[in-house]
Amino acid sequence: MTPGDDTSRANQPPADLPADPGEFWPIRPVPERPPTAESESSLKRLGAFPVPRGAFPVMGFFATVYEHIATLAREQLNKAK
Amino acid sequence: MSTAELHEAIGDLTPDGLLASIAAEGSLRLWLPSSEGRPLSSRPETLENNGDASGATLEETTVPALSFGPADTIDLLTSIEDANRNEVGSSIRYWRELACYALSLLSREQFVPGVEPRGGNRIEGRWSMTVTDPNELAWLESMAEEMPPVCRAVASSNALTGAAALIDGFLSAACEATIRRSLEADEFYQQFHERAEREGKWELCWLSSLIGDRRVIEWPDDDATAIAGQIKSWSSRLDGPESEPQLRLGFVLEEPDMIEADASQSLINPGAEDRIWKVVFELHQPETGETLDITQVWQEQREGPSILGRRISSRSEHVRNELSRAAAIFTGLERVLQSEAPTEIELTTQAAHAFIREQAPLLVGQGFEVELPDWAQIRNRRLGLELVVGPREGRSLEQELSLGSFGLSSMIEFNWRIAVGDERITPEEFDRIAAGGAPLVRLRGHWIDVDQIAAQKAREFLSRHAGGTLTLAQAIRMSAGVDEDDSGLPVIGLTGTDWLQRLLNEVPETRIDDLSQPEEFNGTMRPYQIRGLEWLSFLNRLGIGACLADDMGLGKTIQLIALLLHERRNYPDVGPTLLFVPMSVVGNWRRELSRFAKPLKVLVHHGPDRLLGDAFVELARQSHVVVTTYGLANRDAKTLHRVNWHRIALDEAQKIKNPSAHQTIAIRALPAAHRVALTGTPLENHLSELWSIMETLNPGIFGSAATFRKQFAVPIEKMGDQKRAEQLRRMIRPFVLRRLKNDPNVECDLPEKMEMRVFCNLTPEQAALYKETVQQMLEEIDRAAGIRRRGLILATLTKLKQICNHPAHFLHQEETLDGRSGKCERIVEMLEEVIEEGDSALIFTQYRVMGDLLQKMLASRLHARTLFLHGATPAKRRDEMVDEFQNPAGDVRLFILSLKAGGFGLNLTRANHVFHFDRWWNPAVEQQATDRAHRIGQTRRVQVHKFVCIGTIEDRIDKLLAEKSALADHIVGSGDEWLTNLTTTELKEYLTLTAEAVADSD
Repeated sequence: MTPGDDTSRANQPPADLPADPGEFWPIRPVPERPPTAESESSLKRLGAFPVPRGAFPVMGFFATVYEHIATLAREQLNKAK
Repeated sequence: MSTAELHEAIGDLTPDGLLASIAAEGSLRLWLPSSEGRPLSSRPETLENNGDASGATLEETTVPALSFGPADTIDLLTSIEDANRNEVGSSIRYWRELACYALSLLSREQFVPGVEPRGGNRIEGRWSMTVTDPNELAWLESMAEEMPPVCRAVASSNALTGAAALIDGFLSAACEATIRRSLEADEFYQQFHERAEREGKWELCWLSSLIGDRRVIEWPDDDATAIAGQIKSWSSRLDGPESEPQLRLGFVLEEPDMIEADASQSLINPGAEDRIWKVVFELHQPETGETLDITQVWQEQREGPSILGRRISSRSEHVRNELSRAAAIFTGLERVLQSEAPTEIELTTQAAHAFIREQAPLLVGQGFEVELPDWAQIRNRRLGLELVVGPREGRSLEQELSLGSFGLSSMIEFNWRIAVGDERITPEEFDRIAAGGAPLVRLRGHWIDVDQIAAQKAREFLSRHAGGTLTLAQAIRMSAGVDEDDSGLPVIGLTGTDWLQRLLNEVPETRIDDLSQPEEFNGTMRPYQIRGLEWLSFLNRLGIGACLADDMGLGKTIQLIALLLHERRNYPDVGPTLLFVPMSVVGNWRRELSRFAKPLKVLVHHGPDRLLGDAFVELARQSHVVVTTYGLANRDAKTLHRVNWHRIALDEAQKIKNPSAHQTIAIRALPAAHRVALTGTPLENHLSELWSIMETLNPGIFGSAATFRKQFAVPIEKMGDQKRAEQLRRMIRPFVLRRLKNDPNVECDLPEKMEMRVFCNLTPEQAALYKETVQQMLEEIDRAAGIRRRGLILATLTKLKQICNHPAHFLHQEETLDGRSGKCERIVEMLEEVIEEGDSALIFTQYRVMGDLLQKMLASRLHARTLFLHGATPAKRRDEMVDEFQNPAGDVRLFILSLKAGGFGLNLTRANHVFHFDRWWNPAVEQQATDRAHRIGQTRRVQVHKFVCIGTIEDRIDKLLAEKSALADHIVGSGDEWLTNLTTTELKEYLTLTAEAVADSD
């Protein structure tokens, strides 16, 4: 995603890279994503935090993070649609 | 195309023009189809202009490029406008789809925090996506197959060229960058960097490494590696696909083949090693209930397909993996793992015993299925001792009583019997069991579990202590494990012979003493009430304190009054009974005593004008019953001590639930020959109450409070120990009689009770106040912790309940009440019908302010005179109100009561409607209130209306309670405290107003 100025070179192209422009620049749809299955938050699926609890509530902190991130991602996704 | 043109083109694609302008300019070397040293056109419409492309080769070509950070890349891809989507190449559309998928994972909370050790005390915080759904993994695999070639045409020695690796890299970078940027942008999370530096705690350092760009940090703790290892193992629990999550490995224990002759013998004691047990492996499909043939599974392909480098395990691999996992618990399993296709494991008797008692529960805990023979699942079919008690020298009850007062401290005879569950075994059989030394022994067709160390100890014990004498209290305590013996075997039962059997073993539903209703009793007792009288009388004769815990409304009062009449008829000279009652029911008791037991002389000791000193003592001695309140037990202790009480009776005995309270101590200190308690509470669910009441009734029977807490309260309440709970039930059985209204032996003839929810909408004003209150709390909650957080939540909850009741309740207003509350409008409508039908109603609320508002509304809207009883209502006025309401000729049809002041002890059977206007969320408390109307004396069907505001916290909790979930028990057990333990996400879920809360306006 961040190519930058690339000066290093590979000697050979990947073996399965087609040289035919028709195959190299294909015109085909992106595979359709399956419907989203209901799934529980990964944080809940991870279960109890394994390290004995100190003064700071780690899981409570993560619960807030998850809520925050999910809300932002949902908003961005809605805009994308 | 130049980089300037690229800026422009990208700027045109997205509404976010800034994105294009922040991109860094650079170049990229790509392998592109070329001919004669020149790249061939990529545009679809000009592909054909490339002419004969058969001679095209891939040539390394430098192209201008713009560079974006990962989060900006996601922004760019997901912000490409609809109109432009056909303008971009297939690779952009491809990456856009993956960018949307990455956001979808984040929006569904499919990501985990993690940690990577980076040498020394340095660690790197990590966020990773969790893709576990097989369908999504299959889709990603098809995306890898369909990846446009240009996406992997970067000519760089360190470029990823495999499609799957590229997708992995893209999603990982998208996840990391999006989360880090979102957190870093929030002031609340930013502070963690500073806190980590300042406080130096490992938790804070780790969290800091998960926010923003400072990924690698120094970990201050000496146990850095160990803690990082624990976190890493935790966060990798979701790694890999859920390929066959539904297939479960099962273990079935099979008994040794018994030859015919062996099986017929009463006792086979085969020794530890000479029988072969088997544990057979099975693979279950829980959804269909199908059991798969494991031999066939072993013959299947060994390796499953691969998705994005994560190989889905085949079924045979799954079995092997699961067996390896089980081997950590199931000793010996590792040896069968070395064989090609294991289907079972053989065990010695010793190993089978270890499997049943130690490994099987652990395997179940780890998600395996375990099938044991029936006998192995019944823990009470273990070897134990039964304590058999009988009257001394075979005396009859009458003989025993004629010798003086019998009681829990009286001596009785005992001996021991050895038993397996309910089955008694002979001393000879026991000797053979103990001599054999095997942990599992076959006895009369069943295998039994024998703790051989205990058996040897018991053998020795029995040779020394075959029997003797002890007190009845000791026998009861010993049978419940409160008093320990040194027998080595658990005491699994207590049985009695002769009349002791009646006390200890029989259900009090059978006839104990053949009594009939006392002649002086003014009314008709129901058969179950007569049985209650017999039971009270029986325990009374034995000098044992009794607790009558019948369900509310079954007439505990009547049964006690009958006991007083019965004994006075048989023993006219017995001293007075001192009856403690809550202040709110003094009047009720006075009325009931005068109604059902006219001959009894009743003295009410209550109020500022009550007699004290000699005057009281004189009058009390001449009375048959002295009714007083719990509050006076301590205050008037000196005076009360001067009377020689025949009995101390406690109504609503849960009032002495605090053993350390002054009033409880004062009551316990009052000398009396007999004690009896009445309560409607199921005592086995309230263990501190149980101990306190039993300690008052039969001092010392449960041992000290500390022993009881250790022996019963902690195991039952904190650890859910069912065995202890059963032990306790057995132990209280002789002292507590509890019948329920739905008990088939209770023909209480109570009319039907119909419960229904009344769902109300909020008015727009209520909804606006509700939303604002929730919003305000959610804004403040993240900045609060500890007590402040709890306080904030509880205060908000109260506000929300008030808003649901009426905006005026929340805003402390007294005027302009009409049309502002959905609930109030509904209750006015319903009460109008109640009055029109000639019916009467009780209306319960938790709040005095709301009671005042309701009283005002009902007066102005229905022109109905309404009574309101609350905590500040003086006792005299309280009695007048009850009389006024109960008077069939009276004009008062509506009675508002505060739940705390009027929810118990009152007899308000004139009402055939009960309204719970706001909710306590404790069904027992609500039922107790409902039973003011639904009790003996009620002749009509009682309708119970529970008000719920749709879409609010009331609605959510009502549903949780209806589902009877584990959380529901928590709600009931902790009042509103449970809410304070919720995360912010959960709070939001419970408190946020849903769309259906407000009705559409016409």
